Order: sequence, then C-alpha cells, then structure tokens
Amino acid sequence: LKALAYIQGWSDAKPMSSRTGVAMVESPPLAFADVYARNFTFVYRVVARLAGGGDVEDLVQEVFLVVHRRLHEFRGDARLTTWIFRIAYRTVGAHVRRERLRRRMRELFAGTQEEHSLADAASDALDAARRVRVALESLTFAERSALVLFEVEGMSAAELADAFDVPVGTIYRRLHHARRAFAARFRASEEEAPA
Amino acid sequence: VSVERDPELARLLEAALDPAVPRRGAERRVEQRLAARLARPARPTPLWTLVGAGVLACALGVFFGRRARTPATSAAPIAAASWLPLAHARVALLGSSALRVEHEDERESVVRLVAGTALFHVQKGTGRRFVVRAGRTRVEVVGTVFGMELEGEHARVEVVEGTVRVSDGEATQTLAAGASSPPGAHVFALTPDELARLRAPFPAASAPRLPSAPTPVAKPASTQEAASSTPPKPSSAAPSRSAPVRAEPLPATNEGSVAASDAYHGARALERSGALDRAISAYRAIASAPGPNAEDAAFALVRLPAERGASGAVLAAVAEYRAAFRAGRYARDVDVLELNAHLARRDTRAAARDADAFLADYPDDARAWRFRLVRGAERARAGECDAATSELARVPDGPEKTAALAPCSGVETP
Repeated sequence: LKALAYIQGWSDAKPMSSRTGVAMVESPPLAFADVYARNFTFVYRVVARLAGGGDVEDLVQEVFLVVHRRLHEFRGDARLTTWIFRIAYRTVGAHVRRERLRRRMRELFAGTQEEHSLADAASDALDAARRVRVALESLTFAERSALVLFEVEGMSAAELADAFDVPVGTIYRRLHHARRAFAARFRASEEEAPA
Repeated sequence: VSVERDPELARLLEAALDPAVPRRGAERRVEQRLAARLARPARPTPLWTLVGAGVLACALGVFFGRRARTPATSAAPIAAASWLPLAHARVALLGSSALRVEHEDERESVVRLVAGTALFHVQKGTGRRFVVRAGRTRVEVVGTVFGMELEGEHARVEVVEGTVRVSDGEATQTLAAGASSPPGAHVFALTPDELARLRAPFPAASAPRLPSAPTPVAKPASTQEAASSTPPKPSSAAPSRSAPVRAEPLPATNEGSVAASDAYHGARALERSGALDRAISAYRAIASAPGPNAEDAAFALVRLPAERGASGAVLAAVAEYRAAFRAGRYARDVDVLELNAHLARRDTRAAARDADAFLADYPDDARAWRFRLVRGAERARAGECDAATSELARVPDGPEKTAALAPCSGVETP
C-alpha cells in the first residue's frame, strides 16, 4: 500500500523515503480507539474506491466492527494497513456480491431491469460517468478492485498482490480481463447511445 | 508479463467514481454509530451455539465466578471520557460532566456529581468509604465499579462490579453487580478500551496516599496515577477543592501506551470541539515526548496552523517535524503544507525550491501537479516558456494553470 500512503491520515503506511533511504519501523500494537483514529481516512478511501458508491459510512462502520472483533488476532505478520485493507476488501466484497444478488433477484421476480441497466445508460449519451459505472458493474469484484486500485490509486501489481494476498500473475490476469471486459462494455454503451 | 498504466482510462475512471474523501463529520458519525453497535447486545445465536456457549460459560464460571459482568447496553452515544484519578479511585467523566470533591480524609472520600455522568472504580481493600452524592441520591461503596448519571434531583445508578448502597432520601437499597436503579438504567457509555481502563486493577504501589492539605484532588499530577512520563495538562490552573471539575481530556496516567493514546485522543477531542489553542498545546506536549503518537502530534502542529492560515507557525512546525522525523510517514503532507505556506508568504523562491525537492523525490505523487504548477509558473516568469509549457502540460487545466502561463501568453511556443 505504499502508493496510497501519502494521503493524509493513512498514518500507518511507511514507505521508504527516497530522501533518506530509511524505512520506518512499525509501531507497536495500538488500542482500538487509536487504530480507528489513525486509519479512518485510509479505510474510508479504500471502501469508497472498492464499493464505488452507496453508503460508504455504513461499510466503514462494518469494517471497523470486524477490526474491533479481530484486533487481538493481529500479530504483526503483515503491516496493519495491509491487514485492515484485507478486512475492508472482504467486507466490501461481501456487500457488493450481496447487492448484486439482491438486484438479480428483484429483476428475476419483478421482471424489470434495475437502474444500472445498459439501456438506461445508453439513453443518456452524455453521461459518460454513468456508463463507466455500468461498465465497472459488469466486472467481478476482484477485477473491478484491481482495475480501480491500479489505474486510479496508482498501486503497482506487486502491491496489489501483497494486499490481496495472491500471486502477482493473478493480478496481471485480473487487470487484463478487467480492461478487456470494461472496454467492451463501455464501447457497447457508446454504440447503443442515441446519435 | 506486465501491464502499463493507461492514463486515459485512469482519467475516465477517476471522473466517474465518487470522491474518496470523507465527508465533513464522517469520522465522528461513524464513531458514534460504531460505539452504539459495540454496546448493543449480541444477536440471538442458534441453539447449538447457545448450548456450546453455555457449557463453556459454566467452565469459565468456575474460574471467573467472582468477576462481574460488563455493562450490557448503552443508550447514549459514547462521549470522550475524561479521567480523574482520585485517592483510591478512578473516575471517568463523560462529556461535559462535573464532579466536586466535598471531603476527603483517611476514612472516607465524599464527592458530589454536579452534572452529567461519572463512572467510578473504587479501590478495594483500603477500608475507606467512598460516598457519591448526586442531587438527593447518595451512594456509598467500599470497593466497586459503578456509574451514576444525574437527572434532576435524582441519579441513575448502574453497578458493574461489587455492591453499592443507594439511598434516595426516602428509601435505601443495595445494588449488586449487574443491577441498576431505577431498574434497567444504563449509564455506562464507554468504549471497550475506556471500560477496560476504568476496570483495570490499581497499581500495586498505589498505597494509601492522601492529600495532607487542601490539595486539589482532581489535578492529575497530585496522584500516583499521574506519575507518568506523559506531560501534564497544559496551562490549566489547579481547580480549588470545592470547585467543580469540568470534564476535560487529561493527558495523564501511568498506563503506558494506552495513556499516550488517550492523551492523543484528548488532543483530538479538543481539536474537534474547536478549542484549537488548547489542542495545539496538547499536541505540543505529546510531540515533545517519545510515544506512539508523537509523530501524529508533530504533524498536527503543522496541520492546525495551516488550517488557520498561520504560515509562519507552519514553517516553524515543519522544521520541528523534519528534525524529529526525517523519514516520517507524513513527509509528503508536510512538503505540501510547507509549499502552501511559502506561497501564502509569496516566497516564490522558497516555493520553487520546495517544488524541485518534492518532484525529485516523488515525481509520480498524486499531488505532484501542485509543485509542477509552481515550477512552471516560476519558469514562465523567468521567460523560459518552453520549459514552462512542458512543465504545465502535466498540470490539470484550470485558472491557476492559465495564470501560470500568462507571462508566456504572447510568446509562441512549439
């Protein structure tokens, strides 16, 4: 998470300083209140990026509930931010999958398309942002997360691999698939947009 | 196999995604909701889990039977607790609560809850009485953990550990651990960390120590618990013995990093409440001593004057931060604030130096464009229009960029 560490409030990230070449030493374990105060902005940013909308504060709360419950399990094997990131990733992932399932169920039983349909997006050719969101929706959560964190947050593949706890090759594959699927979906919405 | 970044895609995504910056007050809102969730009783669990938990509870009960249960719920949002270490007792005052010490000698302590909620841990085995008055309610204890909330002429009482005798002018009742008066009253609005701190055993060295003269008992430095390396509460006059002590986050205990963390949170609470001068004093005290939050406090000393537009104070704090934390985790933030301070002072030469240093170290930082803007403007002013145009090509379009390029507006550039 080095690439994210510069953001104010991401206090636990400790990049190697290019000025001094000195790496920061990890702080000792902290009380939950301290962990909350020092990592709130970090968690908020991660959740906002991974969830891509919705009530971010609710999800941040869920993440910290898990952190509170499991803080005693943190042994310092990974950096605290990495550990928290994984919790945030799993929490948001579960939320996104739950929401998708709910939407599909509603579509199935109500026989109508939900708000993020391609048709809706195409009906507003000028709304590129919405088309981007619809295209992102077509990706799996893992692909979407990798794409956003790589492209928007500037994380490297190695950092993503560390954060997701997967091999670097998996990250490359996810990015490759994510870009291809995103481009196809985005292009489709562009073509279907009224002239 | 490698994947290169696609700037076009990045711009597209960034424009479409919601800003990932917390909205105003988000931290406080989530904190309050979190506190309410943590204080809520657990959800009903399946039968097999209950059976297993029951067996386990029985086993544990053999060992911990004498331990009292923790408070179950709290209706109130958790307020930052302030700590008053009294003789043989520890008191957490919630919010703007106030407590007055009416009497204290070798045999007893008598305190009065003037307003709000106070949670007490009274040391066992000292043989002294501890009496709390709140309106018409009087609570007498020997060794216990309990809380009181003043409501009109009466007080709500919740006992967590031990036994207390509550008299309310008309009747007297004894409350054991887990009981409340009136029944169901919940006054423990503490975070789990704070509750653990309240319930923590008293230090072994905390032998009877009583103020010999009218020593202000609420002054942290006058007690055993205050004998820590944490700096004393800055610039606060010692309250008189009879004067109510308003709840204030006190950066003083001897409980190691927990105390340091509390001091930091006290400073943050002051900052949130708008008491910026006091927050700065508190941060300065934390930053001046080694501790887990020293760097956070040192950065706060840069950030707060920056928010107030005090560029001189920012530059002084930047120098102090860098002297203490050469490879600090806020190094880049400090660089940005230093740049802003130099710009506010119209010291373009210093700002240009900042830009050169930052861009040499962090050319790909998300905030590098600010430094490029400064460097581009400087080059445009110097008549180096090609260099200025090249520098500003990586700066987002906007009025600042246009203004930076203004000196070159009449010059043709390739």
